Amino acid sequence: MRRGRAVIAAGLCALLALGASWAVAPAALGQGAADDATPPAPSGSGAPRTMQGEAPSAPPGAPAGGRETPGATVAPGGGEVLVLPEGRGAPGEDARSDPDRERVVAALSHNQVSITTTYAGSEIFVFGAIKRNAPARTGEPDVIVTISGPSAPVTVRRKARMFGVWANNASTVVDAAPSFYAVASTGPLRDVLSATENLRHRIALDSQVRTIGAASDVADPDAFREAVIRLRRAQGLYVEAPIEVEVIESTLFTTHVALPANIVEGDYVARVFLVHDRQVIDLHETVVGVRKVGLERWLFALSREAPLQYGLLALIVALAMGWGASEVFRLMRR
Amino acid sequence: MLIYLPIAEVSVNAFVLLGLGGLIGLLSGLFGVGGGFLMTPLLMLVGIPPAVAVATGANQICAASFSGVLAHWRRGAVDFRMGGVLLAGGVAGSFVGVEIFELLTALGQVELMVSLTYVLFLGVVGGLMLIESLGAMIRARRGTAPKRRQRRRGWAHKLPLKMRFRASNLYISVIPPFLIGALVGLLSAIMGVGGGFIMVPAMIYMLGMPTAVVVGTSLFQIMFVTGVTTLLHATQTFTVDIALALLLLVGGVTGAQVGARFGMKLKAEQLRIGLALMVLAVCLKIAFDLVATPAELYSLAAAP
Repeated sequence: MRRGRAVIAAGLCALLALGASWAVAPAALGQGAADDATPPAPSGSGAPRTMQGEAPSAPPGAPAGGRETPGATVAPGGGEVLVLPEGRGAPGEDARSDPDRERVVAALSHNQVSITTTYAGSEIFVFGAIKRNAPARTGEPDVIVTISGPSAPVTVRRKARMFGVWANNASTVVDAAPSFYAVASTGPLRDVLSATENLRHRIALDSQVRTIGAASDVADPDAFREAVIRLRRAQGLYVEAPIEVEVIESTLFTTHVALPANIVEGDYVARVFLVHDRQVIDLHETVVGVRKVGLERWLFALSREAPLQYGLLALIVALAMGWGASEVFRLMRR
Repeated sequence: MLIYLPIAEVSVNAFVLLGLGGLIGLLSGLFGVGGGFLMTPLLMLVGIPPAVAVATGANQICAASFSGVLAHWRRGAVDFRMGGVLLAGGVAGSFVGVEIFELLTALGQVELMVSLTYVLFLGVVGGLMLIESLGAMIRARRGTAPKRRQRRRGWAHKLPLKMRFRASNLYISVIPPFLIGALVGLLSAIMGVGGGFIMVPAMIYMLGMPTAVVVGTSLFQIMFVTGVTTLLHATQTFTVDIALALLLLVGGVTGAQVGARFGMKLKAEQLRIGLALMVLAVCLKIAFDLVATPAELYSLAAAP
C-alpha cells in the first residue's frame, strides 16, 4: 500500500511539474508523443481537425453503424491514444466538436504484469489529469476507469431436476465475455453516465458480457448471461467499484484496480473516460500486457509446443519422486 | 504461500496442496487405492479447473503408486505375474472405455453418467465390503476359530489357460483376472480414476488372493494405467499441470510411504472396513449432490 501511495504521489508530481502536457509520462503513453511529433497523413478530404494537428481516430470499441466520420483514421504508430469520432446529430455532440474541449491524459503505474511462480495478484494504479485550453466548466468532471482482460466465448450450462437427480439440461454459448473486467468511477454509473453513452462505449459490466444475434437455443438467454456475470463476480474476476476514482481540484484523478491471482495471460485494455453532464468528452486507452515469465512461461510453452516431451517429463518427475521417497524412507528406517 | 500454476492458471496455497497430496498418499499406501476418486473432487474444491484436476490427478497417482509399489515389493507383497495379466486386461478395457466415453460426450450428459457410475459402483463395492469385513470381525470377536477361508474351487479353477501365481499362492485360469482388469480399465477410462477401489475387492473376493498381496499388486497395475492416462492427457487435452503435480507429489509420496508402513500394523479386516467406509462416504456425497438442490444452477466452461 505504501509503495502504491508513493507511485501516486510521484505520478501526480510529474503531472503538476510538466503542466499536464502531452510530454507527460511518455513511457506510459508510449505512442502519444510520437503521434504528436509526426502529423498524420490526412486521409479523405478535409478531415476535421480537433486540435494540435491530431486526426480524429475511431476507438476500436466504437459502434460502426453510421458513426464513421469521413476522415476518421487511426493515427500512425498504433492506436494507443484515441480521440473520439466526430459524430453528428447525436446528443452532446456539440460538446465534442468544441476545439476548446477538455482532454484526458492518464498513465498506469505499470504497463506490464509478470506472472511468476509466486504471483498472488497485483495492483495497478491509474492516475492522470484533465487538460484544458479554456477555463474549467461548471460542475465537477466525472472520470471512469475500466480494465478488461481478453474476451472469449463461454459455454453456460443450467441444471434441472430430471428423474429425481440434478443434471445439466439447457446450455448456450455467451459469445463475448471478458476474462476480467473492472470498472471504477467517481460515482454510481447510473448517475455519472447516460444510457446512450454507456451503450456506445460498453462501459457497464452488463454491456460487456453479451450474446450476439437473437438466435439462441434457450428460451431465456438473459438468465444465462447474468449467470456469467454472477459467477465471475463471485470469483473476483468482475469488479465494480462505483466511488473508487478520486478527483482532486477538478483536474487530477487517481484510482487503483486490483488484479486477482486467477487471471489469464493476454493484453488487458485500460480505458479512462472523461465525462461531463453524463456525456463522454474524451477517452484515453492503453494496453497492459499480462505475461507469464520464467519457469511459468517455459512450462506453458513446452506443454503446448512439445506435449509428448512435456508428458514424459511429468512422468519421469513423478517416478523419480516416488522412487526418491521410497529410498529416503528406507534409509531413515535403518 | 500462494503458488501460480502455469497450466491451471490459478493461484493456490502451496501448503493446502501439500496436505492434500499427503492425505491421498496416506490412503493410497494404506488401502492400495490410487485415490483418484477422492483427489479429483478435492482439487476442484480448491479451485482447480476440472479438466486439469483429472489429468494432473492421474500424474500424481502414478507417482504415489510407484512409491507404494516399491514399499510393498520390498516385503515381497507384489504379484507381478498377476499384475501383468490384470494390466493386459486393463489396456484392452481402457481402449473400449475411451470409445464409450466419446459416445457419451456426443450424446451430452457425461457428467451425469460419471456421477451415476460412481454412485452405483462405490455403493455396491463399499456395501459388500463393509458387510463382509464386519462379519469377519464379529466372528473373530466371538472367539470362533478364525476360519481359514476355504479355497473355493470355483469357476476360476475350471476355466482353461491355467497359470501358477506363486506370490498369491494360486493356480487359476488367466481369464478371470484378465476380465477383471478389462472391467477396471473400462471403468477407469469412463470415470477417470485408477480403479483400485474396484480392483482390490475384486481380487480379494473373486480371485481369492491374500489381502497382503492384493494392495501391492493393485498399485502395480494402477501405476501403469495412470502413466498412460497422463501421457494421453498431456498430448491431447494439454491439461497436465506439472507444477501442481509436483506439489501434490511431495505430500503424496511421503504419505504413501507412511501409509504402507502403517498398513502393516493393521489387521486385514480393519483395512477392509476402513476402505469400505471411505468408499461409502464418497458414494453418499456424490449421491447427495445429485439429489440435493444445488446452490448454483449454472456452470461455466470454455466454449469449443
